[in-house]
Amino acid sequence: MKNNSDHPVPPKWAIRFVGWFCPAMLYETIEGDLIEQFEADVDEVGERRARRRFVWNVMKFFRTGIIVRNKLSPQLNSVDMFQNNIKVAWRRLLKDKTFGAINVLGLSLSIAACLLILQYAHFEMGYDSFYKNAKQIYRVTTNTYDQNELVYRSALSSQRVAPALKSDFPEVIDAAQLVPTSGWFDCTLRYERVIFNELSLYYGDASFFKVFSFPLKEGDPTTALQNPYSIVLDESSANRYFGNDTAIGKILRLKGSFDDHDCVVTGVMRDLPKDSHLDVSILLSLSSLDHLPHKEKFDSYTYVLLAPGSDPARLETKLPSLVTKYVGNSAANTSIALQPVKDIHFSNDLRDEPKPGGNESVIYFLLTIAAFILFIAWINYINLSTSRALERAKEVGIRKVSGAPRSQLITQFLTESTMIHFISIIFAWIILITISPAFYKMVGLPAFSPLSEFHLNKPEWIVLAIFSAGIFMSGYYPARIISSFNPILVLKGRFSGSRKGLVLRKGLVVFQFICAIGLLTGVFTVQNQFEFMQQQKPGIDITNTLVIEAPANVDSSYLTKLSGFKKQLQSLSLVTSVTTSTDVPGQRIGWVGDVRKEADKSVTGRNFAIHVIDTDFITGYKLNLMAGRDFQPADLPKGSFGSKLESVILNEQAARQLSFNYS
Amino acid sequence: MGKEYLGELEELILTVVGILQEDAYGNAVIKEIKSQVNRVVSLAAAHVTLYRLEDKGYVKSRVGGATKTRGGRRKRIFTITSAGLAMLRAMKEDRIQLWKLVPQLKSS
Repeated sequence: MKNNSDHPVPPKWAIRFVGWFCPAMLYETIEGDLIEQFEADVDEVGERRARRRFVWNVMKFFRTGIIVRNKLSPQLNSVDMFQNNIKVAWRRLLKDKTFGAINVLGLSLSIAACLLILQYAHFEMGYDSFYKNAKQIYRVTTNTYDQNELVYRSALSSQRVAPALKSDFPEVIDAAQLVPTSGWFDCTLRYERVIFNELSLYYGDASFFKVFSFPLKEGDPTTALQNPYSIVLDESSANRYFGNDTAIGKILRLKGSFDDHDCVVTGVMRDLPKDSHLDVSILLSLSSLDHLPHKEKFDSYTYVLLAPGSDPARLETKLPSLVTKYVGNSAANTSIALQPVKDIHFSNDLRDEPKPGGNESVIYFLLTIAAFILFIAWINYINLSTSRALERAKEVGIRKVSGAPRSQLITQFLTESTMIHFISIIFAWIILITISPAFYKMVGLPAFSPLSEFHLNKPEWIVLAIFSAGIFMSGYYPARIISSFNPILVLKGRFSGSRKGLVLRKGLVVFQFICAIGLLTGVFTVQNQFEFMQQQKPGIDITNTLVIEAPANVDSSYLTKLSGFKKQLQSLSLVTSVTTSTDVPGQRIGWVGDVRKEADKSVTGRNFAIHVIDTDFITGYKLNLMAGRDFQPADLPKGSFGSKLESVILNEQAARQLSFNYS
Repeated sequence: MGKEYLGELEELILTVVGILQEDAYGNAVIKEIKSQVNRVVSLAAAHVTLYRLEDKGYVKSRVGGATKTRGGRRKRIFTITSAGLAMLRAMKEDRIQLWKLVPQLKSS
């Protein structure tokens, strides 16, 4: 290894390494010291060990104190300035506690309000975005026409749609059907002595798990819904029936108006998140419907999973031909369309939705209010700070005389405002955490912690950017004003405040007041409107009224049991009246049918909602009869409807529409 | 800023710079420490400490003339500033002050 026989040299690569990481400013002298050390080492311990020591010494120089020295050294001064700025800002805050408290309180309250609204909006706008392929999932909706007039837009579609779409269009990867039971099939499930009415029970098949990329916690998603009377429960339903026992393989008894059969549990799925438009908690295999002769009459929610990159608009143009192919002549009355699954929550124009949707304009309105609240707080901060500029004039004057450049002063005041903002944000966070559970209870949302639901997606970045810009601007403007003072005028004591910026300040105050008054007016209006609405007499007495939902399985003993139950209730001293009805006032009436006068045979009937009540309904709810009489026990149907001439009571509107004279 | 303090190694090296007068550079400093108090300080540690002392204003440095040894590379010569001397003096006085307060027990 001896290349220079008379003169040992240190390893070249090590020297090159020093040259690579060492700042140019230090390089030469460090290298010199290293070589000198090497030469001394050669004399002392020989070349071999000296070379090793050289490398070791080089390595020891590879440390932050050397590597970043060149880059940091010019800024060392500003680190000191920064620490000093923070200290001065903190002292200012403590010196004028009222001012500091007003600032921090105002900012933290408005930031908290703003965050609360943002959190709510974030939840509402994030509906149905958690499916893995959310962007490729579409729901098939149905439009029904009557003489070319759109009469009914439904979230449901025929059961024939899903298989047809799957077989006819290659871009449809899969199509799932969910046949809801609410409205036509009231059923109960029973396990030993545990029995529940099941309202969120759907008929479905394996495609459901595939389209929504929904994993099963237990069971095989491909086969779980294959055989008739296979059932998949969500975790909380499984828990209701089986507690902590395993649910798989257990037998549940399904009993309802159309069916009475044993079902075997083949899977357990996770509960659907609250921000899903679906409310599926129990899935029965679609094949369980096969034995019903009229099973095609039940419409289903149909969801398609499109191949990535395929154009839903192009698929939509091919849909009319599909309807013609499968439905035939009556196709003119029906058309189907695709709706992105993410749009479902905010679309309010469809009927038969599984869950009530949200209101997008309300969300945007709330977001606007949040922005206004924040702007008002910032404007308030600007005004408070600039109005106090005179107090700082002496400080600025002294600093300027001692050679502080304006940029340094601006940095100082920016540090001050940023610090106040940070303190406010901490307070806002505390406020948010304390009040958000109560807030979510009030608006009827599941409580969620602000941190766990926060992901930095595009909208969050926008919010963060607005926030940072606001923090900067609300600090920068006062900083400019305060740092603009002429030191000579200030120190001579002939300084009376700056006139420039006064117009802007006045403008800001006016704007602030307009916003505040506008918001207050809005709040009062809404509150008054609310009170007015609540004070309206609904024409029905529902005070101290308790609704008990009847078991859904109806058999021959139902009426006897019901009247026994009623009698028992009536014997209680605290019960004044008991009545049975198919629906409860305020609920949508489920039974709809065509009604016309018997005499007008030529006229097609109008659609009427039919509410079945007993003899105690009208007295119990304290309704006013305008004409005629209440039902008597003799009016009740014998066995089933239509076995005799039934009695009906019309409401005012119905009587008018059927052109009856009632007065 | 509160009162500045020196670390133990900083104090040692600052003192050595004061001893070496016009001849204080990396190798000389560690050699002096080795011979005077028999302590091994690595070259890199000495450099970093010297730069830190320079930042604090207790030493200043200049680049000396080239020599034939050390591959013709120049030396960075450190000299103690009056602030550095004042610091050393203050520290020494503090020590003596404290030392006087220690009960002078005879070792058995």
